[in-house]
Order: sequence, then structure tokens, then C-alpha cells
Amino acid sequence: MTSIVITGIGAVTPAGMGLEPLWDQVLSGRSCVRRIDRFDPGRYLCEVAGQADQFIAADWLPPRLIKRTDRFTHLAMAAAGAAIEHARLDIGPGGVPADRVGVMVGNVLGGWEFAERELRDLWMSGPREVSPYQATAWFPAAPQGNICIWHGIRGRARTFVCDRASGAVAVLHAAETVRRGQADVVIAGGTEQPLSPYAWLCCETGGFLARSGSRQPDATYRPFDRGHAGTVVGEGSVFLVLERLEHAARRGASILAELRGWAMSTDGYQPYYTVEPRGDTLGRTICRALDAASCPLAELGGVLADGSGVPREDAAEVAALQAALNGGHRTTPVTAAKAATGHLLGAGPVADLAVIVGALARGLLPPTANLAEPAPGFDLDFVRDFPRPIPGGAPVLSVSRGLGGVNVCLVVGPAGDTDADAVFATRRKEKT
Amino acid sequence: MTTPTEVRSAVLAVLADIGLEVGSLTDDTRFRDELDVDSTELVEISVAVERRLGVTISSSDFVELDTVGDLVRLVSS
Repeated sequence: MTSIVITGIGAVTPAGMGLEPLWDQVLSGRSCVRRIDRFDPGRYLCEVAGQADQFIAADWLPPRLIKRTDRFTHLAMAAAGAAIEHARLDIGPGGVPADRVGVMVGNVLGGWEFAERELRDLWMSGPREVSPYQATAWFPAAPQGNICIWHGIRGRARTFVCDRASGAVAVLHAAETVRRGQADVVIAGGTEQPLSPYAWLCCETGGFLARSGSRQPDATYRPFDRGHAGTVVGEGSVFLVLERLEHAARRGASILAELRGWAMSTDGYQPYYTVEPRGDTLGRTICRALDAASCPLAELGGVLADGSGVPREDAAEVAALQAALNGGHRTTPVTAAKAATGHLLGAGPVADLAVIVGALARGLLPPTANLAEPAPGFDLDFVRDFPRPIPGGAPVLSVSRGLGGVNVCLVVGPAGDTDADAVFATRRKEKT
Repeated sequence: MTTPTEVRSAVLAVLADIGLEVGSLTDDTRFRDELDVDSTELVEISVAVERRLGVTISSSDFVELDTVGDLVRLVSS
């Protein structure tokens, strides 16, 4: 079977710019979730989020591009560009042919910061006051299109909208695209900017947000904890560069990690906004992914769980893990990374994969932020307070879930002689 | 009545506002080929010129604009 490897990572998250601050934040076991200051959150149930405040679009993109696109596209272009730089990927003449490079993006909400302003102008002042860029700025495929145009990419390009699993579906599809020979390299990731009032309202009515005042923002998102009461979301974008091992080796790329196996399923459970309570389908999907990765349970180094913090979703995920780990659940460490930054929605699962690459390079599984005491019956070996060593060479399983039980499981392993410095190296993209 | 010179400086001010480098522009500079202006940005330019000069440009006219001089002449007429 063709080996699919990760050769580049670009990350823009509430923790900062690049993989290193994201890894440091997750490893600290603390959360950088804070009270929202982009708009007045006082009238909403949830007043806290992860804000990628260090990202200034003008540092990365020219004004003529900024004015015609929403911030969720800016975040994506910065992260995708950083991933391409990290992978030292040349696209076009002299490099990888443009029609052999693909782009796969996961997104949930679209570009509402831009759209809300223009729709207000439409209703208040009339059609002539609406920006001509509204139509192309808002829609979820805008980042995909702009990444392709900017880098001259002409291969297979797709955008996936599957709730909070979107980014994982994008990576899975990218891996299959490379494996089937439909592209030599795919830039795969996700992006999200939920910090505008209407997008925020959508998250609220989606039913997964934690209700919170602003008293202790960083303690609100509590995956698997007995005080779990919902997800806290954040803005950001994370992209990976995927290619076949031989292709990466031929062009002299650093191999950061290997995507060893994956599986996807849907619970098909009703009502559609819930998940199968006992996690049967998810449990089978975890097993299929481990089988695909040729990874016996005994060799699994750990699990980076979805950890939405929604009580019924946490319970279903724990049940699925208990079933899939088949009694080994008392010895296989389980952790969740998203509480450290907030769930980045479309980018959330990709941030998890980047954290796994960091974890494999450092040989440490990070603790779950805010997991003080597991909820009753959550009988798993959770990583709490301190990081746990990962046995050398052991792969880590990632679980990502969306509304209605969209399940994506990916198994990531170290790539032989992975150089930790190469994993964390960031070459800042020059302003163009 | 606005003179062609006033129209020209108003047009250049609009182009500067939207982020184009106007120092080297001449009447022969082509929007699409030289300035990388696409049809959507041309709409933005037209609406901004309308606002600044209080004129109306029909959509059938501005889609045919090729050069900066075309825009100046269209507005001056």
C-alpha cells in the first residue's frame, strides 16, 4: 500500500502563529479561551471563544485581496501558504506540475463577518450599497478558490461542509486523492471564523455551545469532565501538505509524519442533531481505521479524542472508545486537545492532527485542559495534568465528529527518523 | 460642469483608494491586462467613480472599459 506522508504544516490559531505556539498551549494543559471582544457577546448564551488575535491579515496579504475576501479566507491563505513554505513545495514550472497539486478545505459557517455587513447595507440602504465581492466572499468554497488562484494550483480542489468533522473529511479525501494517483500533492486543511454575531447565533442554535458568563472563560470548555456542559469554539486555520512517500523523498522533502490509515462513517441516527448514544458506529469506525493502519491495539500509542464537551457526545465517544479498545481502554491513554484553544470547527480536526504530529515528534501525549475529574462512568485512561510519554514509533488515533454523527478516524504515526526540529520549523511567509 | 482634468484626477484618486499604484498610470494603461483588474473590481471602480462625481455609468458601458482613458472619456461625456 502506498504510504501517505505529511511534509508541511501551517497553523494560525488562538495560540499564535505556527505549530510551536499551538503545541506549547496544548502541552501546558491550559486554555487560552477568553471573553469575546470582536462584538458584544453579552446577549448570547456563550460569551467566550478562542480568538486568533495575533493574526493581522495585512501582514500576510495585499490590500486588494483583503478587501474582496472574508477573514476566514485570510486565515486559510496564511495557513495554507505557511504549509506550502514549510514543505518547501514549488508549484509549477521547475516544481510539481500545477495540475498535479490539489486543495481540500473543510469549513462549517462561511464568511459571515463580511456577509453580515453587506446584508445590513442591502436592507438599510439598498442594492447599490452592497459590495460586488459579497457573492464570492461569503461562500464556504471561497478559501479553496483563493488558495488555488494565489498559488497557481490547477489540480483537484474540493470544499467539505460536514459540521465539526469538515476538516477531517478534507484530510481523508486528500489522502485518498493522493493514494489513487489523482494528485501528487494535496494541500488539505480547514478554516473557520465564527466571531461575528450571526455566525455566533448559528453556533448557539446548533446546540453544542457551552452556556457561559464571562467569569472563568478558560475553564468553560471541559471535555469528559464531570462539569462538561458544551463546546467553546474559536477561529483559526490549519493546513497540511500530503503526498506519497516516494514523491516526498524524490523532491527531498522532510517527512514529518505518516498518515497510516483512516475510516469514515455516519451514525444515521435521529433526531439528526444528536449522535448514536452508545457510539456503536463510531466504535466500529475506530476499529476499521486501526485495521487500515495495520495497528493492533497493543501498539496504539494513544488517542486524541474529539472531546466536544457536549455531555451526550462525550458519553457516546467514551462508549465507542471503551468498545473499540476492547478492555485495553484502561491502558491506552486518551486525551483531547481542543479545550486549549477552543474547537476551531472546520479547522478543529486538522489542528488535532497537527498536535499529533507535534506529540509524535516530542514523544509526549499532552494532557486534556480542564479535565479535573472524569464524569461518572467515563472509564478511560485519560491524560490529566501532566503529559504522558508515547512509546517510540507508536501511532496515535484521532477522532473527529460532526452533527448527526459524522465520524472520521485517522491514524498518524511517526515517519522513521522524523526530525523534531523539522516538524516545528516555521519559515514566515514574506509579505507579497 | 466637470473638466476632463478634474475627471481624470478623480478617477486616479478612486484607483488609488482601491489599492492600485497610480504613479505610473497613463490613459493607455489597460485594466485587465496590466492592472489585473477583473470584472468584479471594475464594478467597484465604477460605483466609486459614480459616487465621487455624482454621475451614472450604465453596466453595459463599464463592462466594455479597456483602459484608464476609456473610463475618463466615458465619465466626461
